[in-house]
Amino acid sequence: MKEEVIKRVVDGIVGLPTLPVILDKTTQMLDDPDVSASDVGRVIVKDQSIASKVLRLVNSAFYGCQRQIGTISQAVVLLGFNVVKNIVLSVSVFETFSQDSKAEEFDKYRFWEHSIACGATTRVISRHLGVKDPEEAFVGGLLHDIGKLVLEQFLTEEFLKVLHLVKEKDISIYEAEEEVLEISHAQIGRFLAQKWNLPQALEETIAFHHNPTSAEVQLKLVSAVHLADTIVKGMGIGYSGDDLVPQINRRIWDGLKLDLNLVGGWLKEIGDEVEKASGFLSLLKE
Amino acid sequence: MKKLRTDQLQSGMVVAKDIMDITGKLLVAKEVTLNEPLISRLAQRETDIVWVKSDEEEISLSPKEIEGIKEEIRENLEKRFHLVAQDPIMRGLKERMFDYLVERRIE
Repeated sequence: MKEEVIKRVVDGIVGLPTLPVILDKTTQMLDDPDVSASDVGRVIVKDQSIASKVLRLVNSAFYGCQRQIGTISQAVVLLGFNVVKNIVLSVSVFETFSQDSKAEEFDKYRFWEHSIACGATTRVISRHLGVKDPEEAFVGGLLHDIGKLVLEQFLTEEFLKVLHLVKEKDISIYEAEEEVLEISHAQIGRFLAQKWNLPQALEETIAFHHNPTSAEVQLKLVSAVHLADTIVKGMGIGYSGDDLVPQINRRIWDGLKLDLNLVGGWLKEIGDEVEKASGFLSLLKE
Repeated sequence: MKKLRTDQLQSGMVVAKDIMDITGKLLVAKEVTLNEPLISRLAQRETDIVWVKSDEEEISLSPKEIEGIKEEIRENLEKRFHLVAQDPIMRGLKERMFDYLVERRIE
């Protein structure tokens, strides 16, 4: 069954819309030392839909700019190339999976609510853990469950069985996926990340957020996403296929020298950050 | 003053803080009384939270109401945490979340 499922999924992924071309071009520009902010702006404005959404987001409370940013070039100068690239990636993924749910039981708007909250929470935790790029951390949290969207879109029937099993047996969606498909959204998401040529850090957050100790390169970042998933589910923000809080990995907890007072002290900051990230949700209303 | 989602707004409510869109443009100034067309327009814009004036700031919640809020939050947390309730770290986290969520709701 497993091999067959993987094959079907991989075949399905072949038919999946690719990410917009400007994302590739923008990423390539990162490696070119001669590229200017105006060059980046010129590439991104070629896709008007993405450019306007990027501008709305850079002006949202989440990025905290003191003055209004009118052009993509200005955004690159004020926020930095990496931030803009990560926003382009986020917007591109929203656009790619913007169609309505095939599985009615799976509320996509609430799914993104969970994902955006995970992104914002990962950003906060990453700052506390000293992860070097909190913006990449946001995208890591945002995309950690992307495999569920692939299952929902390409293996709808099986995914519905998974959702029913979650309710029937009172088990997590991860366990239900293993039972029905013998494969989890984390593995499926990893295929997608590889197909999209996403950075290794993002591939690892997608692949290992349920078992963070398997991460080879970005252990701290993957741990941040793992913790964020638990906290966001605990606070009851959004929906990701079940309403059950996953167990925090004890080795990660001990390894990062976490304690309840420390993590409890982050909750207010997390709540404020999640509220600021609501600008991302507004993109889904269109 | 209390904050509401746009789908909770009603005609006659008075805006307590300027409402901006995410680009910082003023949509509705404070002190404006909301009406249906205005609420519809807000719902279509990128506005999720609106602060409106409320008598509740003068009338604090009764102990019974606070208990009701606590009970509701406790019940939801118990449901979400029930598979990991045996673990001391998870139990502790649930307690920290309870305190935080109660404070946020009552605030």
